[in-house]
This record gives sequence, C-alpha cells and structure tokens, in this order.
Amino acid sequence: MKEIIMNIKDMYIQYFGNGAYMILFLISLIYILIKEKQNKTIRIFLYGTIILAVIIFNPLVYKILEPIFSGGVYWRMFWMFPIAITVPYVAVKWITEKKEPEEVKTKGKIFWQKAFIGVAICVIIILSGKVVFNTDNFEVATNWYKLPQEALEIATMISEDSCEKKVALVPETIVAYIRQYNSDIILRYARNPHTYANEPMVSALQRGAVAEIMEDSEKHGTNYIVFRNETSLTENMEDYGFEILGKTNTYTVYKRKELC
Amino acid sequence: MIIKLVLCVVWLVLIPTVLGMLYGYGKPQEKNNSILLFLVGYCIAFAIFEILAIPMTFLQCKFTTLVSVYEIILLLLSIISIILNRKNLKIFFKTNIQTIKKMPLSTILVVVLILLQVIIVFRYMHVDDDDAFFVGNATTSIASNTISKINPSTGYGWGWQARYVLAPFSLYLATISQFLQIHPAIVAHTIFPVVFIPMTYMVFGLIANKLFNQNKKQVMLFLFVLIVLYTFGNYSRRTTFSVLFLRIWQGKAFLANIIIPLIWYFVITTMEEDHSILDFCVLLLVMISACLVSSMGVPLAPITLMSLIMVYVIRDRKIHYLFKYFIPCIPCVICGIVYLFLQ
Repeated sequence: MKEIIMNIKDMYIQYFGNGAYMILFLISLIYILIKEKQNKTIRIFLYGTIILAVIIFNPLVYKILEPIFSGGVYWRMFWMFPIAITVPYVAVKWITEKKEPEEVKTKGKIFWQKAFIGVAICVIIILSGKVVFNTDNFEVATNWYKLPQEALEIATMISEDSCEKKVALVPETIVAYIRQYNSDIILRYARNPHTYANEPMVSALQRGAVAEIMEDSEKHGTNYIVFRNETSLTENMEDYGFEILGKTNTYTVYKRKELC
Repeated sequence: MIIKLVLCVVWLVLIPTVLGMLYGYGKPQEKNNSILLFLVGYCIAFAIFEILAIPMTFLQCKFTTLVSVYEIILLLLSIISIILNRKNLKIFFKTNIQTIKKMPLSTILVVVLILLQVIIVFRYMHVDDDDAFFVGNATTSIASNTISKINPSTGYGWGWQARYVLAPFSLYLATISQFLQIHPAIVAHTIFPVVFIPMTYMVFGLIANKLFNQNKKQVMLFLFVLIVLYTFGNYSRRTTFSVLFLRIWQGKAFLANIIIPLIWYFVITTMEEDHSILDFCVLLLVMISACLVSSMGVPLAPITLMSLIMVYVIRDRKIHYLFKYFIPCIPCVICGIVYLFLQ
C-alpha cells in the first residue's frame, strides 16, 4: 500500500511539476465553491473534480488500472481534471466582476481596472508555467515529413538502392525514424522507449564490433548497416563484402551486394 | 500541390461539416452552428471508422478494402446530408459568412492567436519517438496493404496487439493519407495539427458558450485566457497543454484535448431541459471515438462521463441517470472486455 501511494505521488509530481498550475486549479475550485452558487454548470465541474480526485488518488484504482495501462502511464488519469475549464472561467469572472457603471466618466476607470486584473492573471499564469514553444521542444523543420534530416537521407539512400529486400541495422539514434518514411525497409530491432540493454546489436554498433555484427547479419540477411562516423570499427567492412553506399554528416551506410 | 490542398479542405473540413449537418437536420436550432456541426461530423466519421476497422482487422481484410468502404460510406452519408439539408444550405453559408464578416475585435484577436500557434507548429518540428509506431503503422499499412499484421517498428510479422487493434487511430491516419494522396508522416506532423489545434479551442468555445450563457465577450475572454494557459502549460511534457502542440496527431493527445472536453460538453448538453435524443446519440459517438483514438479512451472516457453523471445523480437524486448514461459507455466496456480477452 505504501508503495502504491508513493507511486501515485511520483506520478503526480511528474505530471504537475512545480505544482503552480495545480495551485491555480485549486484556487479556481475554491472560488467556484464560494462565489459561484448560481452557475449550476460550473459547479458540476467542481463536484466532478472531487469525484475524480477520489478515483484517481485511490490506491485500489491504481492497483487495478496500472497493470492494464502498462508502461507507467497512470499519470494520464490527470488528463480528466478540468483545469482548462475552471481556471479560465474564474479568470473571466474576476476580470468581468465589476459592474458597468451608469456614469460615463467612471467607465474608463473600470475598463483600466479590468485590464489590470486581466494582465495580472495572465502574468500569474505565465510565471506559473513554462512556454511550450522553446528550443527544447521545437526546431526548424528541414522537410515536410518533420523527421530528422539525416535519418531521412539514410532512409532515402536505402530506399533508392537496387536491393529488392532491404534489411537494415541502424543505430538507436535513428531507429525510430526510418520506417516512418519507408516501411519497405525492415529493421533488425525495434525502437524501445525504455532501454536497449537487451539489444546486443545496439551495443555492437556503438563498439564497432564488426565480427559480432557480421554473425548477426548472416543469420538475419542484413544487407545495410549504418555506423556513426565517429565509431572505430574493429575490422574492415570491405573484408566481409560490404561497401560504402553513402555518407551523411554523422553516419556511414554500408551495403552488402551479395545479399541483394 | 493545389489539388492536394483542395483534397485537404474537402476531406478534413467540408465532409466533416456536411456529415455534421445530419445532426443539424435533426436539431434545427443548431443547423447553422458550423463549429458544432464540424465537431459532430468528426465524431460521426470516427465512429464509422472504428465500427469498420475492428471487424475488418479480425477478418484480415486488405487495407485498401477498409479505405474503399470507408470512402463510400462517407461520401454516401455526405450526399444524403446535402439532400436533406438542401433547403438550408444557402442560409447556412450566408449565416456563417455574415458571422465572419461581423467578427468583433475580441474574436479576431483570439483567432489570430490560435493561428499563430498553428503557424509555429506548422513551421517548426517536434520529433517524438512514439511515432515509430504510430506513423510507422500507417506507412506499413499502406505499403503492405494489410491491417495490423506487421510490426510497424521492425517490419516483421506479429500477432494481434490488443492495444492497437482496438484503437486503430494510426489506421485512420493511413486512410486519410490515402484520401489526400499525401505521405502519412506529412499528414500526421504537418496537416493534422492545422486542423486539430483549432478543433481543441472550438470545443472549449462551445463549453464556454454554455458557462457564460452565450455572452460573446466573456467567451472570447475565456478563450484568450485558455490560449495563455495552453501556451505556458509546458511545466511537464505530459500535460494536456503540452501534448496539444507536441503530438496532437497521436490518438492519446487527441483524447486528452478534444474527446474528453467533448464528453464534458455533451454531458452538459444532454442534461439540459431542451436537449434532443440526438445529443445523446452524439455522446455515444464521442465515446466510440474515444475507443478509436486511444486504448486509454477505454477507461478514461467512461470515468470522465460517469464522474460528471454522479454529480447529477447526487444533485437531482435520480439514480436512473446511472443506467441511462451507462449506454454510451457500452462501446468502451466491449472494447475493454475484448482487450482483456486478447491479452
């Protein structure tokens, strides 16, 4: 039980980060509880959140659903919290709370007060969060497929080559992208979101262990092998019947003519 | 290029809207609400796809069969919708053009901000390794003309994977890319965000309309604050805010940002006094759509729905709501049982 509670806590921290948005969410719920007694619709979200919290933070629910979800993604349950409803709703209420006066000369004053509140709310949200449009998340697209350019070049190189059956062994840095472009290329191993510890070929590629790779290549009919340019190969690929098909900035693609 | 652009507009905007007009035909007070019709149209299209794709997967049909049958059904339904709504079409276009022409400054500002977000996502790229499966599956289906027979990550054959068979959103991507004659990676990474990001704000706009009794100024202010919330919601890459911009083409992001809010919207709508039985039917379609877009939809959609319904049950002291609203949950229950059986 203690372990489950700790797991839920970890999921919460992973999802809510520094917790600032959660604080905004809680403030919005408290506001709705105290001030929005007339708006039945928004109160549905308030009470619905309470029920959701009872479900999501329930160790029994975690115990049942976590194995079904698999891959440690229980934090997706937090997607059900209506943060995107309650926080903007309360922000609008705060901004528009002041009634429009009858006198014209005070209308301007009220407008600026509302504008100040609006700006203050936006600043609070900005300081609570982190902008999504940053260089950690985005880079300039170099192609319409929005795949890493070098992976695209390698996939194109192999696609356009004359071999009918294409089986490729590529580094783990590009394994996720090749078949997005061309699924005629069979890959020796699948992309793994967790670890490649159980993929001996990943380690062999990193070490440039040519003999190991050749043994695997014979078994699986691998006719394209991609190394990083910085990898020191333990033997010459040419000795095993491979020739260079092409190069990119970071990778060299070898092809085995015999297996075409 | 122009032909592909026209195909994009037809398949991603016009046909969903025309499908949604079937709902407008049955609920006249919403017949000119283009945003609602557009969203309902997508729910109709998704539900049809889910109902087709799952049996065709188990029957080991060819992928091209699925594409052809789906295309025919969508076109037939569109023709039926146009025929039924033929007398209202002129008014529909006129009303919506008038609405666009008379857009107040607040609405223009919100639209510009949303467009700015769309342009950034269109121009820049976020690489997500989960696409090795998601986009890979679409590319594999097209190239091999099979459904779920080949491991998209490697290209070797594999048995049925319950999670993916029952939530074939990547197949939907493959199908749409066939309609558009555009590579699935381009459809996913470049075209889908252009449609799905505005869709998200549309759903919240509809909800805001109900919360503020159609006060346009408050609705636009709500959307403005929501835009700020979304833009700065990247304190974690796992939030609904982050996944909207980072991977909206993936079913789980679509579930979080569009399907779950649509459930909220249609629960509120079906609880209103003047609701129509059609609203309840659309809620059922939304729940089927939840199953299509992600295996997470199977538990999350019913939990979202029933947690709101529990509030109404307690508030109105009407236990029969639980039974009534169990009906839209049935598709999720069926998928859940099949999933456990396949495991």
